[in-house]
Amino acid sequence: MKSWATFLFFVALLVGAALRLPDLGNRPMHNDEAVNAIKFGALWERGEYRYDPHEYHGPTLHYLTAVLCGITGAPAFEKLDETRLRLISALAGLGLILLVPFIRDELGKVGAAAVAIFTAVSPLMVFYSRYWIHEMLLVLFSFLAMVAVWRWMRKPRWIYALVAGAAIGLMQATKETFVLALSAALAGGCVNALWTQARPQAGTRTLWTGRLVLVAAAAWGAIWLLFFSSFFQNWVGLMDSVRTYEPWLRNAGDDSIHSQPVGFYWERLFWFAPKGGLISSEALLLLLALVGALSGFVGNRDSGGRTDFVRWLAVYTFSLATIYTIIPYKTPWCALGFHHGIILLAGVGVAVGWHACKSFTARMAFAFVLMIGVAHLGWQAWRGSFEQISARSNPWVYSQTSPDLLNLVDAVEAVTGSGEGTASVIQVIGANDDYWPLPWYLRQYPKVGWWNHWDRNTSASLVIASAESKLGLEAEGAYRMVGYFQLRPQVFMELYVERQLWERYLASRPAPKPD
Amino acid sequence: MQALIAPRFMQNWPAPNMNAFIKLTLVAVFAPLALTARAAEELVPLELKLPPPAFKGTPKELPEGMVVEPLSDKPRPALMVPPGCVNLAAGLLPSSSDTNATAKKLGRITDGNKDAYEESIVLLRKGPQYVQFDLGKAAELHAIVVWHAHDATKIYRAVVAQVADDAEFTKNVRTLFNNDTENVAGQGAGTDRQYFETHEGKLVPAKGEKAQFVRLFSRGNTESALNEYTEVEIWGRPVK
Repeated sequence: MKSWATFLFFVALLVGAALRLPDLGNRPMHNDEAVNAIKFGALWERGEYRYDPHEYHGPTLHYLTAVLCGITGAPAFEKLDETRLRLISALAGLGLILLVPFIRDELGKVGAAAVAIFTAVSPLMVFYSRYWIHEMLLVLFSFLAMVAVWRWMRKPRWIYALVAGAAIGLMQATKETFVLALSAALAGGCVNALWTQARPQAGTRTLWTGRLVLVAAAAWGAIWLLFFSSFFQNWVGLMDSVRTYEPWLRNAGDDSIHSQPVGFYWERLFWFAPKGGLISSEALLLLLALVGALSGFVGNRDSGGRTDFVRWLAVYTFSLATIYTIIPYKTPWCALGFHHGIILLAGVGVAVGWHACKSFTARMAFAFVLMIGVAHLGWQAWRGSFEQISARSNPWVYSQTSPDLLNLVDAVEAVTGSGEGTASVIQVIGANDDYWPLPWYLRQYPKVGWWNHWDRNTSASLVIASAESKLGLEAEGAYRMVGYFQLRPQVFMELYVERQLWERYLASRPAPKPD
Repeated sequence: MQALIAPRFMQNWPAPNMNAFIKLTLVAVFAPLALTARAAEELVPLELKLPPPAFKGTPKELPEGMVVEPLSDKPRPALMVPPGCVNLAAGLLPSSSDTNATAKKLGRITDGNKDAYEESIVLLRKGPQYVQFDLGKAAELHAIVVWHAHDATKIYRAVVAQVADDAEFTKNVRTLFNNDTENVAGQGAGTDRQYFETHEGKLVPAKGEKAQFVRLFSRGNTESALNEYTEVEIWGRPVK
C-alpha cells in the first residue's frame, strides 16, 4: 500500500483499539453473555463442553476464549471477570481491520483505507466488539472466508483453499446462521456468473479446480469434526450440528418473543430517534454503500479495484440484508453481518467519489466532508460504548442488564459477610427462570439454588425473587424485604434477608456520617 | 423388695410404688447410655441439593411504560382529611442538603408542575440528600405527597419523611415514613416498603401532626445514583 494508505490503516487500527479495548468491564453482563459464561465455566474448570443443538450456539466462542484465557494465565472461573471474556470479541473486531489489507486489490487502495477507518469507528461494530457473544466471531470468519476465496480467485493456491475451507468451518462452528451468509454469498456468485456470461470481461478466470475444492472441503470438514465433537469427546455433537436447524427454524418464526417489524434493523442503523435523546445514525455509510454498489453495475468505474468483486459484494450484502429483514426473529446484533457488507461497499463508494473528484480542491472538500462524517461516527461509537452503555437511547442496547443489579450483588456480599459468607444458602426465584445474569455474579456461592417458584423447605439466609412473583415473604415473619433492584428496564428483583441476619448486618455497619 | 428387712428408721415410711421405682431405675440406668451413644454419633452438616440455573434465551425487550409487577389499575383511594386542608407547600422555596442546588432549581419542586418531563425534574447530587420545607408557622399536617421522577419505572431508595418543630430537626422529630432499611440516611432503619414511582406520587399520611418543618430524604434510585424531585405537596391547615 502507498505510504498514505498505510498511515490511514494504522490510524484505523489505533482508533479501533482505543474504542474496543479499554474498560471492557464497564457494562453489566447481558443475559446471553452470562448464560454462555456459565457454560464456559464447565469448559474452563473441567474441560467439559457438549454442543447443544437447542441453545448456546456454536463452540468457537467457548474454545477460543479458553485458548485466550490459557495464554493470558486466567484464574479459576469464579475469579474470571467480564474483561477477560470480552477480550476475544474485541480482538475479533480488530481482526476485521487487520484483514482489510488482504482485500485491497478487490477494493482498491482508497477503498481499503476507507473500509479500515469505517470498521474502526462504526458504532454498531464497536458496541458488539465489546460484547461476549458469537456475532463478532461470525463476522470475522465470514470476512476471512471472503478474503480467502477472492484471493483464490486471483491465484489458485492450496493455502487460499485451505483458509477458505477452514473459515467456512469456523463460521459453522460459531453460529447456525452461517447458512444465511453462505446463501447470500452463493447468490452473489450466481449473479456475478450470469453478469459475466452476458458481458465477458478480459482477465476473468474461473479457478475452481477440483483438487483445490477438495482441500477446502477437507479443511471445512476438519474444523467441523474438531469443534462439534468437542475435540473427539462427544461424537453426538456431529449429528447435533445438523439436527440444530429444526429448533432454530422454529425460533425464527412469527410467534417468537423477538418478532420485530421489518424496519427494526434499518431504524437502528440509520435513524434512531429516542424520545428526548440524540439521533443515532450511520446513514453516511449507507449513502456511500449505495454509490459503491451501483458502481459494480453501471458506469466506468475507475477506483483501482475489481468490478466483479463489487458486484458480488453488492448482491451478497443486499441478499443478506433482505434475509435478515424478512425473518421475523430479530435481535440487534444480527445486523452485524450485512452491516459489514455495507461498510465494505461504503469503502468502494469513497473510492468512486475520490476518483470522480478531478481537481485537488474537489478532493480536499470530499476528504473534509468524510472527515466530519467519520468523526461523527467515532463520537457515536464512543458515546454508545462508554457513556450510554445501558441506556435505551442507545440503538444497540437490547434487554440489557441494568447497572442497578450490581447494587443487588453488592448487597448480597455485604449481608452474607455478617453470616456464613460464601457458604450462605441463597434461594433465587425467577418468574419463567428470569434471573440471569445472577448465576454469573453469584458464582462464588456454591449454595445458591435457582427456582421459578418458592420452596419453603430450603432454609435460605437470603431469597432473591422476581417482583413479578409477588412473594410477600415478610408476611411469613422470618424475612425482611430490604429492597427492590432493577434487573432490566421494567424488571425488578426483591431481596429478602433472614431477620436475625439482617439485624446482625445492620449492627455491623458503621454509623452514617452526617452530610 | 418387701421381703427385705428395712432398716428400723424406714419401717414407718409409706410403702414404695414398685412400678414407678422400676421405671425410674431403668431411666436412670439407660438414659445416660443413650445420650452417650448419641454424642458418640458424629453430626454432619445437612447438605441440600439445590437446583442449578435453568437456561434462559435472550429476554424480550419490554416497551417503555410497561411494568412487570403490575401496579394497581385502580386509582388510589382518597385520603380522608378534615375540611379546609390546603397545599401549604405551594410556592414555598425549599432548602436542600445539596448545596449546589440553586433557588431557581429548588423552586420547581413547589411550582405545581408534576409532569414527567425533564424540565420539571430537579436533580440533586448522589448520596443521601434531603429537601426541607419551612411552613412559616406550625400547621396541622394531614398528608405529604411526593413525586420524585416518574418518567420511567423506578424505585427510590431510603425515602424518609419527617416533621419537626425546628429547622435543625432536633425538637419533636417525628418520622412519618421510612423505607431506609439500611439506615443510610442516618434516621434509623426503616420498615416501610419500597414502592414504584407513579404519576400519583407517594402519599404519606401525616395524621394531623403539628409541625412547622418537613424534611424528605432519599438516596438515588434503581436507575441512577442521583436524587430527583418533580413536586412536593404538603396538605394541612393552620393550627387552631
